[in-house]
Amino acid sequence: MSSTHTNLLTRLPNPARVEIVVIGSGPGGAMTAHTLASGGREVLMLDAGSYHEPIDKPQFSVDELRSKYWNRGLTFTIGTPQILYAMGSAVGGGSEVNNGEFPALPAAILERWKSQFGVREISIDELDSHREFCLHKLAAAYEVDEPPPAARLRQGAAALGWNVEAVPRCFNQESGQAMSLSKTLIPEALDAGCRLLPQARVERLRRRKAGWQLQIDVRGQRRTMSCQTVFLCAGAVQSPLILLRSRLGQRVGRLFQCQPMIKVTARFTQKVNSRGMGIPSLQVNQFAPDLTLGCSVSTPAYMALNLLPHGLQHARFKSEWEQYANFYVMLAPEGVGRITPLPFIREPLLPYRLTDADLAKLRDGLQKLSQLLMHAGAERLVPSVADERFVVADMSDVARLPNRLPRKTTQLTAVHLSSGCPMGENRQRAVVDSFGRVFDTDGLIVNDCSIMCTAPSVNPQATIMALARRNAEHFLGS
Amino acid sequence: MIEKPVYAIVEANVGLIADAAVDCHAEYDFVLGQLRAMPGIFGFALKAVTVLFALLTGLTCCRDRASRQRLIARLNNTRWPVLRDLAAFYQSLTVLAHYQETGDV
Repeated sequence: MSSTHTNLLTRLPNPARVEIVVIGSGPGGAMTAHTLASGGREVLMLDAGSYHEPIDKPQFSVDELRSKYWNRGLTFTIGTPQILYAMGSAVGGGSEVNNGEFPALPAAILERWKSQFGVREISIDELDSHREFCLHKLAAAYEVDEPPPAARLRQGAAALGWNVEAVPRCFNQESGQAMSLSKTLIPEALDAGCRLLPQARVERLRRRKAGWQLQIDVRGQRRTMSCQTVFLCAGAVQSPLILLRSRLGQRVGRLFQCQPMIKVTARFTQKVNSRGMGIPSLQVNQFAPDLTLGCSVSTPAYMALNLLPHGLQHARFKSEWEQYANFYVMLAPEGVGRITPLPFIREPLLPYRLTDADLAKLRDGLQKLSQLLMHAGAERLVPSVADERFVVADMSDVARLPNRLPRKTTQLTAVHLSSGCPMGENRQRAVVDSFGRVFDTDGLIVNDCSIMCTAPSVNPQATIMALARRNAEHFLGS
Repeated sequence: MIEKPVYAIVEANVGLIADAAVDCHAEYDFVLGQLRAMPGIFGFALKAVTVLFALLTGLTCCRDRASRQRLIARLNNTRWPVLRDLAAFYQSLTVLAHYQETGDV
């Protein structure tokens, strides 16, 4: 997509009234806009972030952190342990900053959503068919050459008899670049007639007789516009926040979830890392859906940050960094957070409490990953726990890991956020119905990661896009 | 008000990373940029604690680079959790910026 595309706007259209506004251009918003525009509807997509020309920032670089992340990556929950979470803030949303992994939703998770939230008229087969469509559109494929950290992960899992699974990634096989939405679905949506206005942050929605009025901050200028239907796809935190600020919906933001990860930096005797390696997309799913083990971002800066609390020797690290790689343990937690708007301040408070059972599972996962990596030939493991008792130098250390993770010194990160507006027919728990429609509110549909009832236990991009396409097609059909 | 202590912290940390006296303007710009991007109440609290930190420690009064570095090293091991967390926060930002700036590895 070129920044000169005629449907890439720099100001609100005049007159400021359209049929459908899609708020957000991430996986949910882009898929929604693509489906609706292809169906012949008049669509305006708004995004709080900026449009970036393709491949203008190296992946996982500080430049990317500064330009494509919400609050430049400085977002965190309140509570112990604190969780640093990351959200994309650019046209294309999370797809612009993630690894482009595209796994299917585990059937057990969908069954949980059905039984606990009363989600209806949905099946794994239906989601799979939508996922197949997205796989094709985003050119998702399996890695041909397995990077060394993935080979180590596979080796350790094989030694222990654990299942591993290669996950398709949306990436260009020649250049290795992630095929984000700004390079794939959004240009197609614009070609189909959808218009897109970046740097337009929706503050509030107001019900009007013939639809909705939106209060929008467009590049620092307060503007209003109106439409018949709103698709709210602003992301895991902003979608619930807009509803809360607009006093719409019940129980919004009370079941917010993320998938916290403990990182482990492993040192091997041989080189396992190289510049521009990216994140290998192999996962150990033996303990899914509760726990997943895999490879993490392994740039020198990210590894140095993990080693920092353990007395990082910079000079030695700089000469040996190719022997290091980062891995993760990811938890699908039972603990939830609550999105809490603050007066006069744009960002919400986000208290999040992991339960003792969650911490016990994470500790268990850390022990399993340590065991696997030692079988894979690692000689030293440093987890993101600022406590020397969790550093592993041989197999006997794995058995001696403390029984509890300390709440104050365990450093968790999360990139998969969800569930601020869970879907379903159980009105005691759900915020929207099984197709994303806010209960008792015409013309307002939530269609992003917020509607997932719980953390999906895998990278959620495929599930978000499948759900978004399903709901947008249902809207067109009705 | 906020800039001198931030500069001193960044300078000291860059020195610790690089094992040598180096200029650190790019890292300083990065850290200040991140600080400015912090959302309202958190950014305000962080700036307030930083100023308090500087007043309590006399950070900006340290006359030379070496004394500022010694002070930062002591603060990393202080028994006050807030000061320790603050030092760790700035150190993390500085490490990130330094690796990006130097392209060493």
